[in-house]
Amino acid sequence: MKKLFCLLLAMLMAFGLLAACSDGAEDTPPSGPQEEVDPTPQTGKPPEDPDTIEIDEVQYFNTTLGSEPPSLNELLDTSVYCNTIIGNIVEPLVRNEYGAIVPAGCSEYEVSEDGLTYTFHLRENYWNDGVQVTAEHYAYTIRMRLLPETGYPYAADMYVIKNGEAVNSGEMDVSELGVKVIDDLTLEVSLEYVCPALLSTIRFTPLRQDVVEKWGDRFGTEAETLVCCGPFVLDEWVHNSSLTLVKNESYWDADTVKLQTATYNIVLEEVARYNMLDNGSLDTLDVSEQDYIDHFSAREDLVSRKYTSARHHTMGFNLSDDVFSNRSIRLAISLAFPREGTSTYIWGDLTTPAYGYLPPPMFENNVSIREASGDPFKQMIEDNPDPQAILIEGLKELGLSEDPADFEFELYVSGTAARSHTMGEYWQQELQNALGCTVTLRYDDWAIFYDNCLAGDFQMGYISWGSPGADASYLFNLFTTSSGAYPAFYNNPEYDELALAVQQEIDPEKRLEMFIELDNMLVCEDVVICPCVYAGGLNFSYDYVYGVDTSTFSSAGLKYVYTAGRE
Amino acid sequence: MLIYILKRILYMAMVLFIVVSITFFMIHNVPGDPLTSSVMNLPDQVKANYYARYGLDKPLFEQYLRFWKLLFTEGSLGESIKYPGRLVEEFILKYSGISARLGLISVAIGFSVGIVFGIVAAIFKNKWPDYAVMLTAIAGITIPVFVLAAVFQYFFTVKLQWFPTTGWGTVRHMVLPIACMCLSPIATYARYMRSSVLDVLGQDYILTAESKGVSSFNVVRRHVFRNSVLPAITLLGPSVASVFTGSFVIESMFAIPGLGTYFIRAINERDFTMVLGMNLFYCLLYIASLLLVDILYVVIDPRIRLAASKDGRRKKAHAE
Repeated sequence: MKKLFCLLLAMLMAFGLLAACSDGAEDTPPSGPQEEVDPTPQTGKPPEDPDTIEIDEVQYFNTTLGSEPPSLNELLDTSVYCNTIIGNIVEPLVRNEYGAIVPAGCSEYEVSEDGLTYTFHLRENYWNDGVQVTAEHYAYTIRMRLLPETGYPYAADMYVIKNGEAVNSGEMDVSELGVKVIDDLTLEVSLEYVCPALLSTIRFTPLRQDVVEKWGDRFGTEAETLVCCGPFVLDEWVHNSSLTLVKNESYWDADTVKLQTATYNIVLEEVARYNMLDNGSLDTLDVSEQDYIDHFSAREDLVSRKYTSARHHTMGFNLSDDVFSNRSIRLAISLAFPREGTSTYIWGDLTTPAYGYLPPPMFENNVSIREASGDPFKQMIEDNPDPQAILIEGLKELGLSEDPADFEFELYVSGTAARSHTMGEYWQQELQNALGCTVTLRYDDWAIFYDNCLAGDFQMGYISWGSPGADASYLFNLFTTSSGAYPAFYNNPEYDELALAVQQEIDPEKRLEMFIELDNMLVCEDVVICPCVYAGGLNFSYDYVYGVDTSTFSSAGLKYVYTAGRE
Repeated sequence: MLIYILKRILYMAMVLFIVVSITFFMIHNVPGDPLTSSVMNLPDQVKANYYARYGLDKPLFEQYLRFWKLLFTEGSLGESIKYPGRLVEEFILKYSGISARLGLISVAIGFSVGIVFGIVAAIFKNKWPDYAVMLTAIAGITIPVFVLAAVFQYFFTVKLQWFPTTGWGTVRHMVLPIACMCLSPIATYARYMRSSVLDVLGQDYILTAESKGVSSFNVVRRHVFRNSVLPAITLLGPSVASVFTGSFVIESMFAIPGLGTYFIRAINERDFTMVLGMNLFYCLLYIASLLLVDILYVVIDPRIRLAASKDGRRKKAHAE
């Protein structure tokens, strides 16, 4: 009897553990980086030092990292946490600084006339173990990312490199890859097709083959397994607690780097982070809780900055669903969707109501594509004041009962935390009021949600997606028939063609037009998605912090940060 | 006794085997995998390369066999999928130590203070010390640990600035987490101890002891304590097991690099090897602590016999 009890207990415990844990699901799916936007001009240069201030003698900076980087081997880990640290400790060929692409690991680069060959001239830069950074180190990374054995998750982004796809599928030897080391300081990269967004899409970082091979699987798991050639060196990595960077004295631009120490604290609990900002253990922090926003706003030594991210929140329709294959049904829901309310009641006005697909920080030809498009969906809302009539029209087309009260559909939300439920119930109520139909709700944690969506097991799902780079083509690629990453089951040859063409178009004015057209197709013409809000946030920093590059796609890291007047 | 323990260990191994097997097939049957839980949909070629890298392309049963093979031939629980290059047993060894240091201290404080409180409350039943202890106990049980942690953190690190807000390394880092963690055990042990002491105080042998002139301190020390501590010992086993896996809430609140956060997140991230390894570890601790408690019973109360001795059985049969 006792043994049976023992066994039962152990089993119960195992189940209990599995069940208890789904509650901790995150509100937002971890998809791409969440970055910031600022209306500052895209100069590519840090702002001039104000003459009046004197910088502090002891330079240190404390900030947060959202989560423990799974690994600092960038071939295995593509998380934003890994990227943040890597961006500070290794030197990519170019960086995105203050809104523009500027040479970093290279002093200059040339693009051939046909746009298919890039030649990079490297600077004299050294790893912190004294070895000079050479073209071979950059070439090695590209080769490794495409070798099938590596299993690099973002290998498809590298298919732009000549023969990239063939190498990745094992059909071609890696020696045939379009990357060539001319001499120690010259690297030549050839492309499969013209790609004007190459340098803002792919980050070319160096890796040392000898170091990677010396540590094998352990490379990137501890601070001592890494070598650094960026503005900082990873000094200490206390897993799941903090990463400490110190200035790299052998860095080519060491004179510019003023910080002696920078600490990334990993604090999972929101309230704990707020307390740390409150007592000065952190110098900067994003705040989303209204009580704390009020509290910090009242403090005179904190400077606040509101930003919009390159991330959208949308309702995705399943176009392969019997009912949602009908455009009028989708349009009715999209017209009736409570955008302003979602932004205010759910996100405390930290997000912006969305009337289009691309988030505002996406630029082309130096203008915001969002602004240039003029949001034609707003006009559609004005022209169609009664979404219910459109719903009835759709029901007629489908041959269903014309009474909206008989119509029922399911809204699928990822995340099982309290906020997900608040969102779901709010939308349910608003859509039912506006359309007179019945909305049912379903919640699952992200992995299950996304799996079900990809399998077509949903009608309308709440999906958020961020752009990892400054080029808008990435976000449009999600909807092509061949990608299908955004589970809409959209199949429009015209759209596919345009999405491919814009990637290879060089003329920025034409690209701008094409992007607007693509956005229009998704939101107005084919109503593949229902835009909800653009993500955003509010940052508080102490007034002694200077030089933080707040441009949306900045890869400057902490290079230009310094403090002046810290008590 | 020895045979009994050996038998129990054998059963433990069986339980472990069953639990791990169930966990293995359950976690693999939940929708989503380590890849879809973090990055979005990828081209088939890239996916295939990724799955091959972590051996996820093999048939499920082959993966299952490989898990046991690895465990028995190399004594390894395998490489974490989410934290590539780091072995699961490495996580367990390294971080359970941090969790355990916090947990053991809080359980030790909780147990000893709780027992003293319980005895005091029982002896002064319905007087002010009793009320004070019971008030503390109710507070300790009803206030959720995350509220307590938030209040303590705000008061002691923001307002008074006596302790660092988060982090790990020095004794000062440990004060607040332990203070938060030991309140609930204090409450639990105090309540159990109080009722069991009250029970013992009503027994005839206490009256006998008192009437033969044993001082009241010695009555408590020699007669009451040993007879009433058993329920508290029963509780001790499971709480020692959970000590090693850490407290998710406390660890995330104070940014303590313990095992708790990994334990919880491995499931959301579909880190199959990690879930299995951690589950095996937790299960092992749990059943081992149950065994330990049974042995402790004998040490504390010689009247208890774990395995019915041949002698005892004969007597019982005779009586029937």
